[in-house]
Amino acid sequence: MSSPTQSPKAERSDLTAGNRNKPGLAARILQAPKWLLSLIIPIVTIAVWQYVTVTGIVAPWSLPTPGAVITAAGELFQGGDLGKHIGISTQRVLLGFAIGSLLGLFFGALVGLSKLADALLSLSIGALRAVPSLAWVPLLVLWMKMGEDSKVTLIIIGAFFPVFTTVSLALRHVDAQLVEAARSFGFKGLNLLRTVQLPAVVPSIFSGLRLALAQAWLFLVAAELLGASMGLGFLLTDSQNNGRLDRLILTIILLAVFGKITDALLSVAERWAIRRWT
Amino acid sequence: MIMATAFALPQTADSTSTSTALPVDFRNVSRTFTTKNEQRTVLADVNLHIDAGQVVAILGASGCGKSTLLRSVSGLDRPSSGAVFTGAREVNDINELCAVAFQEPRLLPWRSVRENISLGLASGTNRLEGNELIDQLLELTGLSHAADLRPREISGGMAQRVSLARALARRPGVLLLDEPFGALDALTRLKMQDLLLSIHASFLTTVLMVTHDVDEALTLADRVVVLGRRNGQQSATVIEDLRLEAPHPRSHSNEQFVANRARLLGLLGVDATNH
Repeated sequence: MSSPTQSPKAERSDLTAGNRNKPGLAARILQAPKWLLSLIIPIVTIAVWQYVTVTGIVAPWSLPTPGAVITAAGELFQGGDLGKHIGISTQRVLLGFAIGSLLGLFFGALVGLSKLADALLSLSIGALRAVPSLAWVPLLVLWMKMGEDSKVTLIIIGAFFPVFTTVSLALRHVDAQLVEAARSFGFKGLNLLRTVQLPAVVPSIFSGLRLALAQAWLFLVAAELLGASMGLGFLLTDSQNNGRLDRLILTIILLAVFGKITDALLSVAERWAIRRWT
Repeated sequence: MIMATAFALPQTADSTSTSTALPVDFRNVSRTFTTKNEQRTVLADVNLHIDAGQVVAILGASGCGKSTLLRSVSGLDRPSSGAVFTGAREVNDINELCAVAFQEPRLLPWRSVRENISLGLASGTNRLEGNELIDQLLELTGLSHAADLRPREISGGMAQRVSLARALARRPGVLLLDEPFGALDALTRLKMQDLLLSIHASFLTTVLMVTHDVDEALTLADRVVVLGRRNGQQSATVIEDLRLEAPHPRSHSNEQFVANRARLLGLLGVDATNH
């Protein structure tokens, strides 16, 4: 069990380097720090946006200027509304993500480890998974009304499946030789799970968690679009109804920023986990 | 003799494992594997009594059931008929009186060398005694300097020594070695053979080892058991049971050794004049 993650990457970059006789444009650009390179496209986008709106190439009623969006942010922030929307949305995402992931972990472990559970549950869970996210909304609203429960439940559904799928698949592919060795030393049941199987799938759990978090944000907006009095999804519909394009774009940017920040935090944890558990 | 002093191993009164060697009994052991369209009997009517503390090498061609026989002692596999005893106890489930070292080290990659060895400790071993035992094992296997490294940071030979130390941490009555040196290079393999002899001199345990290597068997074992098929039979059984009385270390050029070697190779279907 060496580290299989490193060599293919190294080979690939060797290959691309070998294909060129002298350092090409791409190679020279790649010498700059990565964070700087990642910022190029956002900065260029804002610059173009600024240019086309200020010069009037694009009419203000179809696209507000970046300045107008910042002003809208300031306005909302001072009224205390922005904090409220962001706060409630983040709370829903984190709550749904946490519960959905734990459920996914539990059922994933069950299906991954027990042939009986696999036979009983796989088809049904697979069928539930095939239901498009928006299809749940009317039902949840009818059952749980418009409150927090229906929204968090939808996010739980969204976060559940990625964790369930990655964990159940990964557990089925845990090195059988390691499991047998541990069994020969008398490990079984929960003890075996805790000592061998769970640690072996930690990297997979984290990739499942990252997918689940992305899904959680996705389902959040679905939930809030269709019936909410607060939250970023509500801000979207509210802005649409009032023709507030500046707020609409602000919300989209906020969703991108918060989605990316939470994902980045999780990816730091993932990298730590991969170092620790492989 | 290599090491006359026995290790003073910590004893726990309530521990399920032993630090005394146990005899092994195979009584009419047969094993049949059933696949979708056929039944294949791999082992039939194996009867063997192995004395406590013996080092027994099991030789045989590939697929003749050597590993199956070993697995029936560890409880990882069960005979289709017949029974296996370690000491007075019949093997029914995972046998905690013995410990296995496999052909591959099978170490947990997320645990350090020390933590991997601790996996072998019998349940109920108290922490202090466990640590003391692991320290001794690290020293015995020459791994003290590597205690905190991860499996991916050590060589194949070292990993195999960790696997051996992990098995010894159980203080097994029977140590089962399933081609433990098979994947190592020739030099490392010789060093491991020496290590095994010194371990056996200081550790009271019966050793059952499966090997493909006739020289290895003749170098290490007190007794060589050959599994093979008698004429016309499709299942294997004991076709030779050779006792080796010569003290260690053994010369490979002495007459007895050469004669035994030719005989065993012959049983395995190899002409000794070429090798």
